[in-house]
Amino acid sequence: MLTISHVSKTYENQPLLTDVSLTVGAGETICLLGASGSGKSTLLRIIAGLEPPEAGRVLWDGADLAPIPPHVRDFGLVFQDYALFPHLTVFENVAFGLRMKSNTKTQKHKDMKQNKRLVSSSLGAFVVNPKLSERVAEVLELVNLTDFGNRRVTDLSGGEQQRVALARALAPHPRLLMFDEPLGALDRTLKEELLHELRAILHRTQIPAIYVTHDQEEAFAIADRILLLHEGIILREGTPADVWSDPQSAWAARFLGVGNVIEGKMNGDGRVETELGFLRPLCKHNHVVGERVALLLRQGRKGGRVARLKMSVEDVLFSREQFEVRLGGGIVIQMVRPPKVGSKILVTFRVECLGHA
Amino acid sequence: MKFRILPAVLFLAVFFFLPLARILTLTLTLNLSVLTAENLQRAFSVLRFTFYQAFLSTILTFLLGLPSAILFARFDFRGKSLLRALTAVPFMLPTVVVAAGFNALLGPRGLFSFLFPLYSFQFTNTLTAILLAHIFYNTTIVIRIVGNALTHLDPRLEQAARTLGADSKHVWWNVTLPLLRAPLLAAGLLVFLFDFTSFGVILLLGGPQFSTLEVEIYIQAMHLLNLPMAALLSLIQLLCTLAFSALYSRVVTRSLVPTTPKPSSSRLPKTIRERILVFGMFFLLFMFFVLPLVSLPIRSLTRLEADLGQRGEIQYGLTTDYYTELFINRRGSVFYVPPIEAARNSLGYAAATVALSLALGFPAASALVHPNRLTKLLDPLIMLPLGASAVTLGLGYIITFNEPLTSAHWILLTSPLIVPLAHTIIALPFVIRTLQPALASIPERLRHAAAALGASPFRVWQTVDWPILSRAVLAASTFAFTVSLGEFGAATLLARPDYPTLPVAIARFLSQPGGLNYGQAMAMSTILMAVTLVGILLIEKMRLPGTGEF
Repeated sequence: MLTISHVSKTYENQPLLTDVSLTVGAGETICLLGASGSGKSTLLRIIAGLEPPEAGRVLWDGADLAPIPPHVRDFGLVFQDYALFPHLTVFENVAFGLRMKSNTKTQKHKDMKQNKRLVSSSLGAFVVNPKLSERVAEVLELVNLTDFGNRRVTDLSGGEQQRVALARALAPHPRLLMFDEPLGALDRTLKEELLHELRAILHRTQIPAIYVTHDQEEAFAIADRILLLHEGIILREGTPADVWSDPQSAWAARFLGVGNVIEGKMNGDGRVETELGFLRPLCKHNHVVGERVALLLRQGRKGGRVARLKMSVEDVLFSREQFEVRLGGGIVIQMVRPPKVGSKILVTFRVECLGHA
Repeated sequence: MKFRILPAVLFLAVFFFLPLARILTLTLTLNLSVLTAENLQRAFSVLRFTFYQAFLSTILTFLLGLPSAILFARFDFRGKSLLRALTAVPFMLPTVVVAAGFNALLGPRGLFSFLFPLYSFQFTNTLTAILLAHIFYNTTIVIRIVGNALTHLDPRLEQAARTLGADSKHVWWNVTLPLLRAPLLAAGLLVFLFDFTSFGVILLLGGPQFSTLEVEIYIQAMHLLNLPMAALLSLIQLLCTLAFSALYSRVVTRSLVPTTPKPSSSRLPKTIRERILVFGMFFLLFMFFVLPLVSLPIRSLTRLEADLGQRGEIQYGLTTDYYTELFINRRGSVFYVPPIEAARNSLGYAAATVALSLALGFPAASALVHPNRLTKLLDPLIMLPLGASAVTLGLGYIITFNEPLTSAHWILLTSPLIVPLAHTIIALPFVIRTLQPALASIPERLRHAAAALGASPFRVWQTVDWPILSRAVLAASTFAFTVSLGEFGAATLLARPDYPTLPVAIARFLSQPGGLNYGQAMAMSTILMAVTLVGILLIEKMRLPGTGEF
């Protein structure tokens, strides 16, 4: 089990990660979700051992990984632009980790039993291990690239390259898999297809995984647990459903696109004065009179505090199954039937309190 | 517009391709008698040594250049840009200056044997001297080509290998090195080509027993007056350089290095081992590149031994005698004129070279800016002199213009004009390649805008073209000037004895006995080095960003 404990890192005197703690359990896929520059890639590089943290520790099953160099951590890392070795074929790319592993193993054996193993290990270097090619074929099948072994990686399409990158990371049986925006460079349909495959593979292999992305749809689709990273701080942690139903901060609600976030001034009688009029949310925390408060307006949700507002239609956009209706005050709602631009309509919102704005 | 390239092409045809063709015909048709067993054996042994020393030099250059390339690509340290500039200086220095510099440091009259007489060793006339000078010259090529590739190599490839279980040794051998194959090969071929065609260094530092193709061509042509044999050797030389050049451009066009738009950042050395390595490399490089360059002016200002014919008390210490002596016409000296005349000749030749190469290069470059079928065809032809050896060129001139059939030929060869003609051939590719990007960088719309605002064609040129071009013209002129000033190979064959150039005079002084002659060689070399350094500085200042790579 991976534990990150109070990790901090700065870049050119700007805080990049501040006191980040998280755990990844057996077979669990967690997703670090955040805008670019939020420090998520740096966290992956710290876990992989490619960069040291400035404070805090990275632990595996309770043991500190600080003295362990990246090549013996057994963590797989899949890069955004795949980082495939252009001078090697698909087979050789996938076999790379296996070869390196057997190298270090024979090295260890050599160190332990100096002369005994020398003959057999020096022989092994020249023959392609049948076990090795078996494993390569196995993972290539897993990623649906069965007959691609002899192809040059430079001739492959983006999706195929991504599959090779996944196979390469999977082949040496890593104890943890990390994905750094793995589907960022692909188009939408291919992204969805690969996302489902990846989800299936992670479920089947039961390898714990950390998935980094800035795309909330990707995160919701793949993660058992989501961690929202904003300016180096973990703002919210939970299952996708939890995070969606209770984002807990204005930034999280805006970033996830949960609903309409508006700001207002707390009034004496528990009401909030906004551009849309006085609204009465249910707040968990006590707010002082005059404090700026962020409110989340979810359209058509039952339960909780409800507000019925009469609003003017400013624009109507076609959006797949529905129409996106832009109302006064920057409010956006979804409607099955498009209203007329310029008309006034009555909308029901559930009003939630997101705390201090 | 496109026919502006023709003067340059015509010039090349007469003064480059015709001489080469004459070498070819002389060997192949007229003088089959040259193909005797003895001659062929001689040619073969010369060829073998040429390959041998070039191969050895290349290996040794990489031995220093590869760690240096890694040093520059991966680490930050104080004085980095200074060291990088320092390692690049030798590449533009005249061969005589480099030879004189090493001589001043390690030669029999050099500073080392004066300071450490017990450890003095034979340096001049050894293979070591040749190899050392070649490393001095070409390390910068490895640093530039391989270092650049290493900086722009996608760092995530190495990181991917690390996470897949490769330790730093395996990363280097299995990922980094294979990815650098093309730049390594390109740098290797270029270094080999320069070592293969090296002339001045071998003649001046190696002495008579080391004969490469270039040196042998010179000896056969000038000392043994065996022009057919020299022509045969030139032909072999031409074929070899042509093959290497073709191989080089093949490697360059086919290279595939996965690069990143954001170069991987170099970092400060962290561990103690890294610090020691970085400091050690810095010290080694600094000493290796600074000592020969510094020894030269020091040695030119110190008296360490008796002058020729000087008896009695010898005065040691600082002196400016070697400089003042340059202006005196002494009986029994190497020249019949004050040695400083050589400097005046060189300046005159250099000025003529600048004028001629600009007159030919400017129209050619402006024609090449708008590529069409004609210019595309002629472009590689114009660049061809880059790969030709100066000695071969000189030999070609001697063969072509040495026939007393027409008086025009004879006048040409005996007139001092022949040297700047050869120098123009050598400088022209540089001049064109310096002017071309500047000409191309002037947007046509700017001219149209100026014209639309009411500027006359001359005003347009004056206000739009000239401000951009002036820097490039100055850089190109300086290029031509320094190339001509330092050129040694063609000048040794073509300069008339009573009109020596500066490098020819230095070589003559170096080969004479006596402390005064040696000191004058040092003084002249120092002057030449100073002028060249100023030239290099000017070119660096005037160069458009992103141009002028190999």
